[in-house]
Amino acid sequence: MRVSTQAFFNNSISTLQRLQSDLTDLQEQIATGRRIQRPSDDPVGAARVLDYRQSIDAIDQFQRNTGLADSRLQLEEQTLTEFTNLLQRARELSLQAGNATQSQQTRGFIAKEIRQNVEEALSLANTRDAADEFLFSGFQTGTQPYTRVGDTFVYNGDQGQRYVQLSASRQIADSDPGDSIFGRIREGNGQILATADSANTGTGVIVNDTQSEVSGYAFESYAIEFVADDSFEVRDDSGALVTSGAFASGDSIAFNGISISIDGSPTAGDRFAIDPSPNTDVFSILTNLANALENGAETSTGRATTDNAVNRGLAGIDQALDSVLSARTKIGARLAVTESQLDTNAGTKLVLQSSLADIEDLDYAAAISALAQQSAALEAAQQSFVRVQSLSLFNFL
Amino acid sequence: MTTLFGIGTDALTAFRRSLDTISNNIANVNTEGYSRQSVTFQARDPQFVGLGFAGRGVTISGIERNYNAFLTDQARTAGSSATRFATLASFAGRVDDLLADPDAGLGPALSQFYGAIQDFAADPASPSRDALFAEASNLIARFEALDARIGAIDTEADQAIAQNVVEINQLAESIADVNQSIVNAGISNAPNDLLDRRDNLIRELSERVDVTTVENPQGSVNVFIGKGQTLVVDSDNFRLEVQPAEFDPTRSQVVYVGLTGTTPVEDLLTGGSIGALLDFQSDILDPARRSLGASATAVSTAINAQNAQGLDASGALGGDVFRVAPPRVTSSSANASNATVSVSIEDLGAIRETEYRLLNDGADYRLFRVDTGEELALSGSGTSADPYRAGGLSIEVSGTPAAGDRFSIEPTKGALAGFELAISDGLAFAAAGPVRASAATANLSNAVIDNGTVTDITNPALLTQASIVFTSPTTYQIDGGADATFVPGDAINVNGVDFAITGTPTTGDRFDIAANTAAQGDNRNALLLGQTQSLGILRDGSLSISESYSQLVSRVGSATGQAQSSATAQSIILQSAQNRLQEASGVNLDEEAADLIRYQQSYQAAAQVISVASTLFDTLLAATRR
Repeated sequence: MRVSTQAFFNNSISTLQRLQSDLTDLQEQIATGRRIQRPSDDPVGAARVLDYRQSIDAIDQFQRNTGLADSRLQLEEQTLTEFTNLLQRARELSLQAGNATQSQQTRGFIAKEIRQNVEEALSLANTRDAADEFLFSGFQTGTQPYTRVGDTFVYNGDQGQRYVQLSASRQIADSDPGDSIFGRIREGNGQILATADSANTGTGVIVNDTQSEVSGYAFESYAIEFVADDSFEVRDDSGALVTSGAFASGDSIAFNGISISIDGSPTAGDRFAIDPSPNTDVFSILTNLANALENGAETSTGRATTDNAVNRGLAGIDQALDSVLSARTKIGARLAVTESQLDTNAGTKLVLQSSLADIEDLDYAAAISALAQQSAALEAAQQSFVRVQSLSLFNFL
Repeated sequence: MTTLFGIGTDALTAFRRSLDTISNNIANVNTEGYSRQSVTFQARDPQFVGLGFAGRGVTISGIERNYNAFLTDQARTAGSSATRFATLASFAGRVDDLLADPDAGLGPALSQFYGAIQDFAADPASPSRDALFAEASNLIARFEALDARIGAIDTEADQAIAQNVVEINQLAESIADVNQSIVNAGISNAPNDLLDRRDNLIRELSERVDVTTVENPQGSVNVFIGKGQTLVVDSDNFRLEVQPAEFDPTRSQVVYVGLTGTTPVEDLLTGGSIGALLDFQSDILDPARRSLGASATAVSTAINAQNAQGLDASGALGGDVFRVAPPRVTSSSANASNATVSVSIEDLGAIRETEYRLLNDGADYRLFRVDTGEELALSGSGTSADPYRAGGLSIEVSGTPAAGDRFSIEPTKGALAGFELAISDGLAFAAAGPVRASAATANLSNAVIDNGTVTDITNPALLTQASIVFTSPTTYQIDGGADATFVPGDAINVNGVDFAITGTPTTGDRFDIAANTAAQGDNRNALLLGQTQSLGILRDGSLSISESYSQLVSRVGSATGQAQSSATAQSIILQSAQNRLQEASGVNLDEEAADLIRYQQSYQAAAQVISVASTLFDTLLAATRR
């Protein structure tokens, strides 16, 4: 084959250039550790890299969200634990107050401590989180949830519950409205509340049967009236007689699935009311109890009034404890979810990262051996070019 | 004796001519397109000397170039393809590089923006609002930066096209000139160097655009470019020119200046670097701009729509967050009337990333897709009350059109030109749902109401206070209206919001609905804002915002990869074609060196012949002197 001088030089130069360009590509890959330098190296891979990166970014974000939810739930849980302790103490105090050995003076002391509890309970319900937002005011995190107006307590928040995105498909509530924990406590046994009339002159003390559920109760109200010291009548809202009978102290009066026992000795004309449990907040329950303890009289009728109030307060505190415990149970379940979600997310991220690495990362062993091979090839090409180009007949003329 | 002198001097002349040719070969060893020349000798006609014929020496029959028309054509075709793909690969590679950087592309900016929405959702009352505002600005900046760099590449391509047009015109002129010189020289004495020069000019032309040639009997060639546009006829040449494009005065188009005026020839110019540049603009650059514009429009549409579903920090319904430029409509410079057309996007999912053409056929407007040529049936009448509708576009026309009026519609290509924030701070992000509901404290039952799902944000009474009161366990009234039957779990629609009541409500239970004011901790709408990231809003719901971008990357990547591998393949084909051509026509210095020695020796021998002749003559003279 005839080789023209121009072709020899052109071919040699283009070979050297190709080898150099290959080497530069390899060097770039090794320097960055990435197999795909630009989308054209692997168009499908490049698009998948983008998708994987986006998924990994999203998981990082979900982990941040989960961490945030976790810490808010921890704070809520801790606040409610303290709240439970506080209610337990109030319960013990009410039991003490119901003891017959207490004098009006010692009841006054107990009342003072209960009032103290109310203050503490209020400040717990008005807890703020790390971002200075109220924990228990629903959506209105800038509004203090509970304020006190005299002896009543106003909930200023709403029923909103904030959810946080833990994964693409999972959201979890990271707060609870205070109203559903501290307010909306059904007094009595949760269905009915039995109260003694304040004008009663006897010593009848009503005992709410908190154990038995009233079946088929449709929010009717009843009045138990003692027509004589030892006989009673039960009438419904419309004044119709439901039942009547003889009564001895400690007897239980049962009608329409409701069972109520009355201790002590009511006198003729004494009345007891049975109503659907009203929603009351825990602060009012405690404050009403303290008021009753302070205002009690040392007469037998006065004691009966106090005992009725203590019974009502105790039942209310039990309902409040249930409410807080049920909230804590839910929070505990959510905390378990956040913990497991942190693990799940971390696991998913690991899988995604290894998939990303499979597509994007360079096989260093292969790349470095290719680099050695390519540089040897370039060196050989350079040496042979120098050797061959120096061969010219003109050298010998 | 005279014969001897004659033969000697003839040989001397012939060999000197050979040495001249060899020097010329050596001198042109590096000249592009030069074909090696060689002198062909011929013995002179013999003379009858009685006994027979005696030779009369040598003569030069011609100086030939080692030329093979087939190989030259082959090398030219290979060169044309190689330049085409190299140019395409080089320009596509620039867009490829632009999208390559994992930190500078659009991907991270989108991730950061949606991350900021998530942070905002997780804690809407904190400074996360301001962070989200900053990320929204950052997202726009990233889109703009990409658009600006693609715009710069577009300008560069335009300039390269203009440069190519200038070069094509110059080459056409030169070819016409050389044609003239060759014809002047006469066909019998082919001027080798001029032929080489013309071949080389045609080769250079073929690197810019596809070329076909036809040789004329008198030695000139006619040159046609692209799909048969006449460029050179004998010693005359036509021109290409760059003019503002028909639909877009900011962009240039190439026109052919023929005998009958100018005609746009962009579709006819194939091959070479100008073909590659035109392909690059229509196959890579324009789709990339349309796709980026579609992504920006999608972000804007999705976020604006969701933001409008909630309450911002001031307690008002959220407004637009982003703005993009509306579809760009340009009328043809050839339109006879001044009818105007305005277009808006009605359904982003139905839009395709292509150009649309609206034309008036004298009676009606008709809409066509440019990429497929498909006609889209228009509904409506084109007025503002009842615009034409087709393919997700809403088209309003005004003025009296003339038959043949044409309009170009680019739904998303120019969207980024007007991509900006419609808000001035983070307070405008709507995190909260519009209303909230609660059960009255005095309710006897424990039935609960949820906070509602908006079904009609435009309901004028949306934010007014309302209540649902149960008149019996199975019937309820809204704001004291007529009794409605309560079905547990069914949605109750109040003023455009669906509420669900769970549990067993009883007579007298009341549920209050109010505007969600002061709800700085509510994130219901913020969560929904975050979910727009994976929402399929483009291409009939099959493509989300981030998928649209990764699809663009993959498309540009594969187009570039294809151009690059074609360029590599073509450069190998070109090299082998050139090698074969050089094998036939190239100069080899060793060969020339050997020839140099050969003809030097021949020259010396011929000189010796003259010397012998002279000696003979002297001998004769000496013999006759006596």
